[in-house]
Amino acid sequence: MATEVYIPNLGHTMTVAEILKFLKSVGDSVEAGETLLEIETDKVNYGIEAPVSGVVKAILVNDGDKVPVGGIVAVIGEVDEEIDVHLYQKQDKGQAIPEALRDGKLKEAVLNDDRMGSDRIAASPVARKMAKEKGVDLSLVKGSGRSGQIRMADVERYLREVKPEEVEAVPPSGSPEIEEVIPMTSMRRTIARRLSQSFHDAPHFNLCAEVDMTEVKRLCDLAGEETEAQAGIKPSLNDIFIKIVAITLRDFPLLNARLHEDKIEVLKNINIGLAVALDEGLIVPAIENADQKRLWQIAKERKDLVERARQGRLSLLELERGTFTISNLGMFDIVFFTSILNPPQTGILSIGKTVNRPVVMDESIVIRPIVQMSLAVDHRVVDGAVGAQFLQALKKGFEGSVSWS
Amino acid sequence: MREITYAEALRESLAEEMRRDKRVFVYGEDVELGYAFTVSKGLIDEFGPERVRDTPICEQTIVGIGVGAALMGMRPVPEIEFCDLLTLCMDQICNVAAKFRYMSGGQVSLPLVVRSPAGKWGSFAAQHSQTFDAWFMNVPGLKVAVPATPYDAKGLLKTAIRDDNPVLFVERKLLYPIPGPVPEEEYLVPFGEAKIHREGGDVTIVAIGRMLSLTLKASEMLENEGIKATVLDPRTLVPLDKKTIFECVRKTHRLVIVEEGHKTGGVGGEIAALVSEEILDEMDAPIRRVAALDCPIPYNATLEDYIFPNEQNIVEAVRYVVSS
Repeated sequence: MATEVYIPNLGHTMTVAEILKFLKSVGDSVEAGETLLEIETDKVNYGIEAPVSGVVKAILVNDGDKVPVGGIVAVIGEVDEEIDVHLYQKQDKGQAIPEALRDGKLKEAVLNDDRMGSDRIAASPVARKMAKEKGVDLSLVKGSGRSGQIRMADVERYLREVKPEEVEAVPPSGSPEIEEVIPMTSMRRTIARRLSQSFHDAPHFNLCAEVDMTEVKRLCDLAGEETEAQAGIKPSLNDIFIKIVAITLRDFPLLNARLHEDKIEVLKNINIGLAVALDEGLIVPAIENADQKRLWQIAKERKDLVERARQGRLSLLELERGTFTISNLGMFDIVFFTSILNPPQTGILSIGKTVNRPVVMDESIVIRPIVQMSLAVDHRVVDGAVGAQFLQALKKGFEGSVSWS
Repeated sequence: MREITYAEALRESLAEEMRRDKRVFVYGEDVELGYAFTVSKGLIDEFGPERVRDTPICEQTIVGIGVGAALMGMRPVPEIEFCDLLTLCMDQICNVAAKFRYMSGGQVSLPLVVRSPAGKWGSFAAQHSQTFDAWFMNVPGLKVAVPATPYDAKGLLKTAIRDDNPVLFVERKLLYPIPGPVPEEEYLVPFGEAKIHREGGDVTIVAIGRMLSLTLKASEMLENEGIKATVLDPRTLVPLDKKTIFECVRKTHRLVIVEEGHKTGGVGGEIAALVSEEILDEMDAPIRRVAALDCPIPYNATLEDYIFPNEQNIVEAVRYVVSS
């Protein structure tokens, strides 16, 4: 039987461990109790022992990766055992995806496995139902079932012991009365944590440009027939934005990079994330290698991602693979706004509503569709001039001086 | 209340229905002398060879005669001496008896009750110890009754005989000599109504046929550990009393199903599937099935005991779901 090797919890402040070194490779046999790998936490170095004897069937992380407590790092099985390593991927959302998961080695299909949902909390169906009815955030409930699964009795205990205090907290007189307490969902908390971190850690600066949309609209019409034939839908302005941003990023590697401790990692893939607003919160599924795709492919994938985002059926990989983000609030009549960077990315483009405006061209006033865009960048990685050149290049692209490839 | 055995209760049921309705008759292998399990013993003295008849050892014919007689207005109650031999008359039961009323557009009724004993007797080996309840749940047009007590045996058989549809009436060998309270006055047990034998808040155990008594014993053992079980017997598998099963599961949030037949493709799987489909969000633990192992029933008594479920298996399954 396959046995998973986890990052153990070595203290209540520990949330993540760095993999220092694997002492075994895939295919090596190990004895129970033999040291399998060394990890480093913020406090100690520690050797993780093989929980059982057998053969190392899979190593799911690389040296140097940071893995959350409870994350699976390896699988041990019997000599002839066939193991579907895909089932053992269970990385915490918000943490770097291990190298093993990158480069399409493990496809989305794998990550779609429900067990993978990083934020999925093990709870029995009736515990889940009760938590929903009573407004209990399951991540705050300690499970007593097998492998820490939360059972109905745990939710009941939580309601008895914890919830009353929350509810009965009496505000000082004269202060606004609380109408309703909305517990943060796990998604909400992830958004809060990540964006606070981004806002505090990454010094943002914003650049703004006005773009004449005549060419983008023309391209949209021009590509309409092919896109409709291939993808069954009309291309949207967002598809053109994605395509042109992706192509432009090829020339601006620092805008397609991320900061990892004291190193800037320039990324090979250009995966454009598109911010999608859901009732539960904001998520950013990304189109992989958008610079290499034809417009109809982008349109098709964008439609699929947005649809599945609304159904809650996106994989972790689709949500985490973005290297640059586009946010468009034009549909809400917003003409101009700025965004907070989507960590660990270094750039985000905010696009407002296209508005017909009088502009001066060749000494006369004409009406042109104009959109205001702002680019937020991480000043730790990108300086003002580089950011400005990128936005300028984008403007040129949108206005028709970049050829399609 | 007086106590009579399961076999005696069935005999009483047959006799009362034969007195009540001249169209009712019994026949099969060795029924005149009351073999193999004494159910029909002595009936010939009261009702004579016209209505209590031995037949050749040919199960297909036994059921075929019943279909013909039922179509002609009789209410035959044939016996197949071991339920393992139902395999020989599957065509008559599944293709003919179960379909005739439907395929004739309701022009005929088919009041046929095929009685047959299933399960363990003790070293009757692989061909005379099986339990095929689940197979017949898969045949629309057929009702399936599995009495677990003398009371239910008598009451369900009367209901079966008065039903205008074919009923497979699956008895349990080891229950025949077991006594239980049975009132002297007439009563019927309706189809599709489960019986709750015990109530407790921690787990629902659905027990079928002979498994009921084992489950009740296991529940007492569990009670000593502080685990309180609701035990219910569906009594008929078709129609199945989903409503009562669901009501119990809604109270206990845990479910174990115990049956004497093999686990794979069994009754337990069907009940577990219904619960998963309709009230999954009531569950607080995985559902467990306790059933005969997927292995031919051995002749060797030690191995046979190992294959069939026992009280300990039930206790362990319940502990598992309660601690999950």
